[in-house]
Amino acid sequence: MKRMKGLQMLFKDAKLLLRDTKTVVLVVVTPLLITLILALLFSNLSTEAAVGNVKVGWCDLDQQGFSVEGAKLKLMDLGKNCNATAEQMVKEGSVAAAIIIPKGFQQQISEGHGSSLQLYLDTTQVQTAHGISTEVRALVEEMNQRIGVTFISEAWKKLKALNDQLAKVTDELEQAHQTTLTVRNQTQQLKDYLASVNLTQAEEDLATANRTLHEIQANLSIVQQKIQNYQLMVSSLLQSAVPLLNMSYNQSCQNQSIGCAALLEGITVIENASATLNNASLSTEVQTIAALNTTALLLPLNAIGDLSTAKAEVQENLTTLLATIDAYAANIDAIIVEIQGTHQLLEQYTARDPQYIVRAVSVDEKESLEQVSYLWIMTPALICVVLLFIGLFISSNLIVQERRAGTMLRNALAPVSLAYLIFMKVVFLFVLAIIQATLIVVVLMLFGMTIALNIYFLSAIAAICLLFMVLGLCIGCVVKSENSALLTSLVLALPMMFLSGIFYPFEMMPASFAWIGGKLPLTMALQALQKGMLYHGEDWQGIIVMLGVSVMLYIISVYLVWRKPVE
Amino acid sequence: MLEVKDLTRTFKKFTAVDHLSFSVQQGEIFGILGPNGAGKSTLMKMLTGFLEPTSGTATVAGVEIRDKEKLKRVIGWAPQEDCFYGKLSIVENLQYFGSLYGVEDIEKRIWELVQALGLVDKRNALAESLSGGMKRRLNIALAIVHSPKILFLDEPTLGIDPISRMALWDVIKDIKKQKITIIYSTHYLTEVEQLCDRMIILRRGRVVKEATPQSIKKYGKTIEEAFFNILKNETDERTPDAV
Ligand SMILES: Nc1ncnc2c1ncn2[C@@H]1O[C@H](COP(=O)(O)OP(=O)(O)OP(=O)(O)O)[C@@H](O)[C@H]1O
Ligand SMILES: [Mg+2]
Repeated sequence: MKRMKGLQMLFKDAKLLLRDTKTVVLVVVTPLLITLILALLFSNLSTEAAVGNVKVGWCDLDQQGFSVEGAKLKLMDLGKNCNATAEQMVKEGSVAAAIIIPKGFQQQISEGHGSSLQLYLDTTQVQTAHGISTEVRALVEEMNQRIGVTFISEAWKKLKALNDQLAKVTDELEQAHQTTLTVRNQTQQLKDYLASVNLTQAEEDLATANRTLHEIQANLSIVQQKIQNYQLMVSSLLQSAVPLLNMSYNQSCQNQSIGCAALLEGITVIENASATLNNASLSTEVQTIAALNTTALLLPLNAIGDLSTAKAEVQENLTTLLATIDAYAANIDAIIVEIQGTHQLLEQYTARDPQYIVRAVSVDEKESLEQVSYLWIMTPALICVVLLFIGLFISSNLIVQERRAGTMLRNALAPVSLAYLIFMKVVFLFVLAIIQATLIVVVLMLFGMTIALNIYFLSAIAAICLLFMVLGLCIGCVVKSENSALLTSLVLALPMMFLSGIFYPFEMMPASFAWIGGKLPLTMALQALQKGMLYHGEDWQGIIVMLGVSVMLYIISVYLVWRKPVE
Repeated sequence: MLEVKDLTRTFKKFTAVDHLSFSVQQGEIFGILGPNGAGKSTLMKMLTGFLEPTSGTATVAGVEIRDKEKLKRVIGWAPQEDCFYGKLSIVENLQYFGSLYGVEDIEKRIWELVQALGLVDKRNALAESLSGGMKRRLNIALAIVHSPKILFLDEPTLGIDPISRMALWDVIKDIKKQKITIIYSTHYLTEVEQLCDRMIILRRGRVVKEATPQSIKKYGKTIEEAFFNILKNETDERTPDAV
């Protein structure tokens, strides 16, 4: 019998609902409409678009034709003397921001002093301001990178050419070294030969020696010439590289990137190499050889009598010559090693991409929810807010109507307990809320949101529907008229919305507000849904808390109606 | 059937019902007569279990009024204001409330009621679309759908025209025939004269006079005059309410 009564109650409420067009609209059309409108809004909402659509003042005091190509900003030229105007316009709200290019901006940059743009922001438009600021910062960073990369690339090109030539010089020096070795061997042979020569053959041999000496002299002067040339060339190349590197250092190393240290080191190495080359005493050795009085060796054949003296003198000279050649070869070796070291270092440096010297570290953002739309992020909030508002309105009104029409009194007169009566109201409202939730979910799915209808989601939705409906019921039990039901619902729902973390993160709120916000029914609902939908988790504890709160509110409602069934 | 003893109800400092005592026999139509604010409705609310008495006791058909669950079964109450679902038809209203009482053979009972109360033609019309008189009748029908032992009618003829009022009197007489005791509150003297076996006259929550329609006539030529005289005697002691 009791079940029959319950069914009768549900049946009666459904009939009443269907005959009340306004409420039917509220139950069916409103969730559809609100969800539709909000879904349309959220799926087309973007900060990027906002930044691209607001007017940004462009105040170029430099007038050097500087422009921010590639900026996603809607720039509005403010003319020449716009310093004060720009600030004023931002304060008046006629532009969302203003960018000011100071006088001498371009020149400062090209001289390597650096310069800064000025940005005025209308901070009343929080999101837009942040978007514009981010956009301008990105532009400036890009600009910095471009300037740095251009300078370093230029330097690298020259250093590479230099390095190629250094490689060639090394080759040539190797050859010179080889030639020197040949000279040494020849000299040694000559010396050995001289030691073993008998003077009778001397005349003949002297002639040969004379010839050989001529050759040596010729060879040596070639070597001397070559070495002097290369020495000059290398040292001038290295000297030209140093200022160039210094300049790129000054240009690109204002931000103290990691590449800078390496660059600085390179400059030092090259300066050292250059110094070593200059100090090489090569020329002295070469001059010594040149200065050797080879003509003194060319003795007249008839002066054979002096031969033994001459021979001794020649032998002594040859010994000196050998030592000199040895020193000379060693020097060439040292230079080769030095140049090869420099070459290797240069190769290492120029192999680096200038881009990564200027910007050694960059941020690669990885969003936790890849490729999701704003609508998806807002979906839990949307479901909760629509359910909350409509739920509160409908359920608070249902009770108020019954009490105002005196039907609550008639029901209370009948032999059914109030607890049971209210319970059947909760069941009825719960069914309504589930219908609404279904409508909302259907609309969201039509917008391409793939909502997994798993046990957790369904349980969460059910708990939310129950919670909001009982909350509305409780409001209905406290207030006296439809209007105050509506107002009370609003007074409760609006702060709940602002304190739920939908609009502002809890971290932004004062601690006490955040604490209250975390305990509100809407927040509970939202967090339970977000857990399931956005974070792929489950928060059964949250659902149990919602059920507990629902039961509490139900008991309060029963008490309130029991205490006063009629107004 | 109804025993009231020292029943009192105060709202804050204001005493709406002041140590009332009276009794009603089974099958009687008992009138409670009094000007506005006399405490008629307050008394009925207490007797139907909707208002806690501040002090005193009453038993309705042998049930103490504080025993609410039992009380519900024996009483029917047609409050001063209409209490039904405007969006349900007469039959649907009767069906619904009948089902709450677990009335057997509800269809038959409804047919009896709509016939007895002259609601046959309009039985499927939405309650909100009925005329004032029809609404009063539906209000009474709902009070007796479960055949109570005692019926409380709180100013059932309030705001309806004389013809309809007379039709309603017939209805009430019909109900009396069903052996239902009726407690009838009104401020119209003619009604008490026509309907009631006995009555009390209430004023400021107190019984001014307990009488029969016949005995009250000795206070004046017409019943109005008698009533006026009785009330006048009373006002000698206390400043009167607006009548
Ligand atoms: N809930 C309440 N709170 C305070 N005072 C009340 C309450 N209910 C009734 N009263 C007061 O009690 C007195 C009696 O009211 P009651 O409604 O019983 O009068 P009544 O005889 O039914 O009058 P009427 O003929 O106008 O219906 C009135 O003065 C009224 O203001
Ligand atoms: Mg009254």
